[in-house]
Amino acid sequence: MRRFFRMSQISFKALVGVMDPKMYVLYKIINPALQMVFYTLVVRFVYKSQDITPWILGNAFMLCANNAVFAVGRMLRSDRDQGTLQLIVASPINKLYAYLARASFNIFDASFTVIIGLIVGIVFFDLDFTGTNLPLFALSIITAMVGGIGIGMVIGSIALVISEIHLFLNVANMVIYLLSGASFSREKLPAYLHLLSELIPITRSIEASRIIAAKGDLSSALQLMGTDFAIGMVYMLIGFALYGYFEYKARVDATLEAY
Amino acid sequence: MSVIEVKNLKRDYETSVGIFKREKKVVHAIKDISFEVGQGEIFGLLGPNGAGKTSTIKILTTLLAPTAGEARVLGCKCFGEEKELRKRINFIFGGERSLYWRLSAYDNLSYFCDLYQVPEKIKKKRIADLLDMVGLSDRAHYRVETFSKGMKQRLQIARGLVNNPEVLFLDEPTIGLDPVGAKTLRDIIKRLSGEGKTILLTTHYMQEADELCDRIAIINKGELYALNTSEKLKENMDSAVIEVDLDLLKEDTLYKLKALENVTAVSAASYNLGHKLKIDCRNPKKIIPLVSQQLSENQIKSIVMREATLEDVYLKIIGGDCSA
Amino acid sequence: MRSNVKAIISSCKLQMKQSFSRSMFKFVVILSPIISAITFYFIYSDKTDETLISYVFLGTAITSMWSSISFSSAGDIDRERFMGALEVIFSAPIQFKIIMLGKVMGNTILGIASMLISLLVVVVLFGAKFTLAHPVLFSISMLLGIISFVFIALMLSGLLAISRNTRILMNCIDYPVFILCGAYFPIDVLPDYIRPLAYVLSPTYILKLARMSISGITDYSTFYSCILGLLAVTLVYLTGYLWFYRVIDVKARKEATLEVI
Ligand SMILES: Nc1ncnc2c1ncn2[C@@H]1O[C@H](COP(=O)(O)OP(=O)(O)O)[C@@H](O)[C@H]1O
Ligand SMILES: [Mg+2]
Repeated sequence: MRRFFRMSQISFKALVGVMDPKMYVLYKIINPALQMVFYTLVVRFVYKSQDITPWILGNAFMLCANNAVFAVGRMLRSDRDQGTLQLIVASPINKLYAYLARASFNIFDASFTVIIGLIVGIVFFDLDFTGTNLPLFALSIITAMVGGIGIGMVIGSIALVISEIHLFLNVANMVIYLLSGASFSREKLPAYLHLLSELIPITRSIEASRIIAAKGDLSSALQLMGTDFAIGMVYMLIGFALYGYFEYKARVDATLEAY
Repeated sequence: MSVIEVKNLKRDYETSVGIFKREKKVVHAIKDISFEVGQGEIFGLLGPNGAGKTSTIKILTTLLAPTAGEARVLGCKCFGEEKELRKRINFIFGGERSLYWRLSAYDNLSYFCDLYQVPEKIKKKRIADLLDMVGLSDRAHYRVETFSKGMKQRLQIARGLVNNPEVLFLDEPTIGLDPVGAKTLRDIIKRLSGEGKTILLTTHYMQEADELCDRIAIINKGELYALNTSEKLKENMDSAVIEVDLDLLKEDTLYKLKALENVTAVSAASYNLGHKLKIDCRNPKKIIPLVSQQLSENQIKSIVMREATLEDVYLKIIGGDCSA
Repeated sequence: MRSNVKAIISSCKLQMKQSFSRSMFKFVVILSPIISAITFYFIYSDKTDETLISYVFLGTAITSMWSSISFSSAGDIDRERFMGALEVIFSAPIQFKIIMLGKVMGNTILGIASMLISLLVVVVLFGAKFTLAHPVLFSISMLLGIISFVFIALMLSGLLAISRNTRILMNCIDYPVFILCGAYFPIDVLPDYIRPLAYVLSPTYILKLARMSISGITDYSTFYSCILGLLAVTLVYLTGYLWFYRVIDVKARKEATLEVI
């Protein structure tokens, strides 16, 4: 377990280590907060007098997806670009173990971003948590995070073999936002997009958080969170399978150029 | 009149050290350098890393302002009269940089032709000629990123010649090139010099400098240590080198050799099959018998005498001091 | 003069070729306006055609234009430096500021393309009707707006070359600009004490002018004062551009700290 934590921590450091504190504050605090302000102002203008709590929550949760896609994607990819991928591949360690260890630190990082989003909501937009079941709400953040990391891993594994990585990560990020129903009801989406949106493991956690905040039926919220958690896990496994497959391909076909 | 005139040139860099407690530190990159280069000459600047070669070239190519002193090229001040000067000079920095990788070789040259105000009539032919000269005609429309290192470097040379400059500056132009590529480049440099262009270059390859340069300046830590033709530099050394291959090296051998009259330096290197001694000396013909006498018990395998090379000169002048 | 024009055209073409071969720029110019227009369409989907045009189309158009310009002005000098091309263009006989003008114009043309893409998404994909109450005034506003964007980009590129800190800040400037200029909502929703800041940004005026000429101008004095405001801030950008590039020219060579070289 100690090693698990250490590996996780090291890969996290490798990722943010290049940033100086100023950059870290800008990227991890100020920019998410501004994104939050921007979207909340949009929904407040569009939905005028209606209660915008659901959309504030949606946008706060989406900050983590943003974080997960880029963080995990870049982490996996940086291994390839720096030539450390071959070191990991050649090492005797259990690959799933290494993979999860390296990704899991991002969960903390991502939760932190969501909390910043929520603070912005509370401070500037009258988001109100009095009487909310806070432990359950925290749980919805965790399940969303697991989902976010899951997506991040799938996308990150694919990013391993894609040459236009920034394009790919940015498009993925925007599409996930579109499908998440963060700022509008997913019912508005055409049928096929709606179906796609069901496959995103963050959407249900967002809905659960809305139910919890509205003091609605907690058992249905739990059910949604459970489903999201399961889908998130499936994503992680898919991500890992892809990672393994691409690694195998790389060895057989010598396809990864940095290899 | 000299084409390049450098008089008491100085250049300081101010850098701050530390992240929290910022401390100003001044680096004297060029302390006091003077030299002149005549029309059609190939002039070599040699010196260890950090000696100030690149800084000198940057000043002469109008990229950097001198802190003090004078730098003129073609009679124009490098800082202040660059408008006139820039049209008539160009430079090539070694390595694969200074090109647009996502564009084709042709596009790169065409763009720089426009930036150097090459008239449309001349432009087409010049690009074709340049591509031909560096052997890239058949790759003209390929993207630069698909080029090998040598091809990129050759394209750099073509780029440096788009304005048919009167003076050309080259900073380590052959760095990282394979022997054939380096030879091609040297031939091009000779040809350009034959056409009357004045060339100032830096290099770390002594043989290259020896082969190309009419005169050589050796600088170190921002100061000029020597300036002359390669022949004169070697002559002034007034020394030769004796190289001895041995099977056995005893503890006191080096001391004994050093004690001999006219021997200036002795160094030893070990191989798995024995040892190699390098003895710098004056008047080698007299020394050789003394040396073989001293080494009679060391099982000499071979003993060779040779004239000092430019490398010997360089090493002696810089004194193995590469702390900068 | 003629060689300057030629250098501008040449730099402009080169910049477009270069930018377009960069994947991130394709994203900024093509994909981002498409996905963002779709997203905002769903957010605004219960609204009238006029609202769709005024907020979804104009919002996406102006933000994409801004992104392509800020992306390039923030990144171009750095990228050129990274490629080692900066010293070569810096020491060319054509002035650096002229070359940069050409480059920025190249990116602006691509930015116009992404404005058209957002229009296509809203009109073709979602069938919103694009009607203009004042087509001539709309065109004039857009033209002025685009010129203003060129100079804002030039000024920023100069500022960024001078100061490393601004380069870091630049990565986080998009949302504040979108918020302040009222890309997707009228700036009346902003608190009073923040609103004055909006008026140093030319997109604020461009959006106001465009929205007025779409829905019909009731008060011509507001319209004309917006035009004056736009001209005034553009003049400020122009001054900043010329000034920063003069500083660069000298400072870069004297202090060697700008890493222009
Ligand atoms: N932009 C700069 N800022 C600070 N110091 C510099 C800068 N450029 C060069 N130097 C310093 O000036 C000295 C001379 O460098 P340079 O001219 O590049 O030497 P050379 O080309 O001979 O290796 C070195 O000590 C180097 O560290
Ligand atoms: Mg150098």
